Amino acid sequence: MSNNNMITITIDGTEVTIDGGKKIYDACIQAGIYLPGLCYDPKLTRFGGCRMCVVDVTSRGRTRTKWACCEPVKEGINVSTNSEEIRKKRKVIMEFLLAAHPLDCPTCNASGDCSLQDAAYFVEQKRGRIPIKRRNEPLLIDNPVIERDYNKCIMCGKCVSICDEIQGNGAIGFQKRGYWTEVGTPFRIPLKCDFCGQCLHVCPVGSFQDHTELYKGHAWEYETTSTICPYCSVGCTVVANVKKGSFVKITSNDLIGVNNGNLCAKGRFGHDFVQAESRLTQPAVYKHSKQEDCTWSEILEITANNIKKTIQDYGPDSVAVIASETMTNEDAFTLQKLFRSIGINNLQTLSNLNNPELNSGIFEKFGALAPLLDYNELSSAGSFFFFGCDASKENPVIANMVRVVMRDKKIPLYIANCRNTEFTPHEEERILYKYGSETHLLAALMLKLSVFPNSEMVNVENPFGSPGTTPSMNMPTAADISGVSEEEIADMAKGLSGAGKPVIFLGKEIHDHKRSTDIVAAATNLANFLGGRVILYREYCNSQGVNDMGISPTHLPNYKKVQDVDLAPAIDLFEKMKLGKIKTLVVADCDPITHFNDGKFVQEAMSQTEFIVALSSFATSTTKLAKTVFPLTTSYERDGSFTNNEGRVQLIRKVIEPIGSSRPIWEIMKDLGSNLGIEMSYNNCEDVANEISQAVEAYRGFSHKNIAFGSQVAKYKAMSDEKHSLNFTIKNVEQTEQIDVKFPITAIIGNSLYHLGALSRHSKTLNNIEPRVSVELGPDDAKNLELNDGDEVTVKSKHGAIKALLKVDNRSPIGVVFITKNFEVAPALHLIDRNDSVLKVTIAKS
Amino acid sequence: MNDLSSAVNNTADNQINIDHVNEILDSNKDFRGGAIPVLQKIQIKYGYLPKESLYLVSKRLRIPLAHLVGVASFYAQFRMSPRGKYMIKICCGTACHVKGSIKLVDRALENLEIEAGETSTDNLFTVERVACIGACSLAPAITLNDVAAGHLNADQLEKIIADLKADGLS
Repeated sequence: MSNNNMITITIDGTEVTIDGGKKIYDACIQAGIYLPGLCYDPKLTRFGGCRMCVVDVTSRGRTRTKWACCEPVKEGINVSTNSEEIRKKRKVIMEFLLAAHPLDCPTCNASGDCSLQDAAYFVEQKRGRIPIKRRNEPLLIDNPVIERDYNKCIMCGKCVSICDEIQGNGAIGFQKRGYWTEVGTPFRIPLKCDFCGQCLHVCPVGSFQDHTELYKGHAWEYETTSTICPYCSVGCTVVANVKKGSFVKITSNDLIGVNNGNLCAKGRFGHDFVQAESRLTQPAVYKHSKQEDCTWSEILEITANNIKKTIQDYGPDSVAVIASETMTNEDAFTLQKLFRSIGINNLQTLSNLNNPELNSGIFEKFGALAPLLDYNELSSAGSFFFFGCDASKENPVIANMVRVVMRDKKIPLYIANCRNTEFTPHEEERILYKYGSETHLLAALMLKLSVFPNSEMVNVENPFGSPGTTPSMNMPTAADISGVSEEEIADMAKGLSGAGKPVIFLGKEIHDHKRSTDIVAAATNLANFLGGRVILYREYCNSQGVNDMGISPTHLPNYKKVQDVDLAPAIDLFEKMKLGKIKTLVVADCDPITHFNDGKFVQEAMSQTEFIVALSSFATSTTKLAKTVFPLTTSYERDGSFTNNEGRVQLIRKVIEPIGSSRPIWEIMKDLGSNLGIEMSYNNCEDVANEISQAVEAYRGFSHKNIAFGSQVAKYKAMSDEKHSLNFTIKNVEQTEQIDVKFPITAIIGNSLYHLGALSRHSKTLNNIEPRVSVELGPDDAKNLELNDGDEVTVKSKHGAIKALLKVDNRSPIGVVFITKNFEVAPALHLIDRNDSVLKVTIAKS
Repeated sequence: MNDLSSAVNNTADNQINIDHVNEILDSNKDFRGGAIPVLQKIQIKYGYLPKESLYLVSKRLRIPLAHLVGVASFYAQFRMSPRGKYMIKICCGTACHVKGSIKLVDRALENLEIEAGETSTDNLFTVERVACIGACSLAPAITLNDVAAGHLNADQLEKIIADLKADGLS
């Protein structure tokens, strides 16, 4: 905790001025003085276990030996880190540490990246007087990614702390006592956790190792490049380790980026899609009734000719583009520029098709209240409120940040969800509501807080108006519909208002919800009333940037409105396709058949399209239908930029050479432009970035030179500065339509911790962790349906069926299941009927 | 002998009824930071800490299981496996050691075909080596279900075990 009181101390004759809440170790780091501490990590609770950071502290004429990591700085103290006496003490401590550590350095993967090695070398301690005693514990390989070796452990406790405090798992702890202490799982059960690899990041020795990269290289052989993770919208900085042009592993750096060295399983282990065998390496065109490899000039010519001809014959409205939200800003900008220059405005992303108001329309709808938030503001929150949000699975590193703030500032946590999602093993307040009743619950919270003019009844169509002839709602109805008692609602309202300034997180569940705009508006009102903020998680690494760049039929770059185009058109793109109105469809880096609701309908619709141009890194259901297939580079093979959840523009850098003849989208757009008579004079990706900084007002001053990590946040100009109450309708989704009694279980489809979008399924490591689609069912339901954990089941909706693996756990309450998406072999989204608000299913053994 | 057998209570072969754990947790719910007292009460009830009880305590006290098991495995007072009907603790303190407590340990373990700290297959005996029990004048000393007996030799201990075995089987 900082008390903002700057004080000055002397370390080895150098004066250091530092925040009074810090420890001597921090002052040494600031002064650039190395201490051979092994258990110290600024982001974790002080442990003081290794004793290697001993220093002499002279205060008021008396000198005492202290541990630098635990001793607070005090005005005027004199610290000596390298006296004869201290050197001797450190040497003895090291002697004891080495007595219980096997000196396996020649075969240890951590060699060269080992704090113990560095420290022993620093204190010049060779083999000591004490005979080395080996524990001879077997190597533990009980999961696909994290290998554990108790023999090497020096009991620094960093892994235990990070797993509990930051990851909220608490999967490992100190077991037993004395010499036989081990950092392990309870009862030595196999490690079952998030597989985030935070433990192997903090491990100072080789006790935890990345099983996927063993014996592939030593620390000194790697070339490292910092870039941005291509998975979710948090925008973590990852450090790619490359040996002789081959991408080996990802590590993290605590000092750069927004993530403070934290990564999740996808970020840390899910990089092997880059060199996967399933990569597309050659352009292909459809001829002689199959796809055949061709040259770049051939595919560009065929594609350009087709687009020209389609526009000529059917007009520009017969061409449409669906782009992914994982492409870079530069790609998105050139893509929209090219297509808009030839008169094509039908540019879509899948989430825009799903809900334009929460994507390209977000500034229009919410203005100054748009649910974006700088991560730095998390530390000034009064409380955290997770609403319909499974942060620890969807955006694990934001969850890490929140846990750190909760730990340091003792900030309360409130969770409202329709499932028992895990967040922390420690204190929290939680309510469980019925899916579909979100607006009722939020309105009830606001009723309790007297946000509305009338203190007992609320007009459901205009809550801020007075209840008149239109239907109204009060506390008992809200409690009845949401399944949360009035007392629980009152307690939570009291807690939220007492803690002040909540940060409300809305999850993917809300984003995908049929009533999402109303829910976001309601939550925004609540936050606004309490002086807090709302964050709406976007799904992919550049969801924000792609919208900023104007991949939308309604908005140009920087959210300039396109004239005469409705935000919510009467019939959507796929319906148009089904009617045969779209003759040419360009699909850039995504697969709508797997990743959009009602994939079956999407597939039928796309089959009606005469000419599909697919740009993709991998073979997908969409590339199978395509007439021309362009191989794309992944984000690790090119330069560019991503804009994260906060609107922070971050540089991605080329880590390895492009695989095969794959190319980035901006290059393809440039060449396609030449074939279409549109000249774009970019020599490299940076030229595109420079043009973006001219064309997009929020990105003014942006260039690849000045966006070193996390330095620039896009300056969005809100549509209005005024914060006013947003209108919303209070409506329960289940009230709106007839529910078929044959399908009694409510299913929620979402991303699992290990799979997101199109990339993760091509990562062998992530597939090893989670190989297939699973259904989470509560124990009571499982008993009633006579199903057991691990059963093969068929999930049926009125619209379709998929086969899945059953997981019985406490996350799902009675009548609710969670199904993971992203699996192309059993796409959960195919269960959804595009006209329904809520997915209802049955589950039976298959 | 007589005083020893009278010390035997019915700590062994309790049915694992998890309701007791819930009761214990309920009675301790207003006491913050109370993991150890809860574990102690569970051990008194069951004679050891059943795995199921640790899962439940972890969940209800919101302590990660790895940390709770860490506590339980740190203290020698907690047992993680069922104890036998008869708990024989053999003192291995200095005085008892000098008087040959090793022979008692060896004989008892050999006789019951177990390792120190384990429970015999018939669930009758658990043998533990313990540090000084403070009965040096009785060296070599043992406690049988918390009642001390002293001046034993290996043959006498074997007879005690045999008698108790006969009792237990009858």
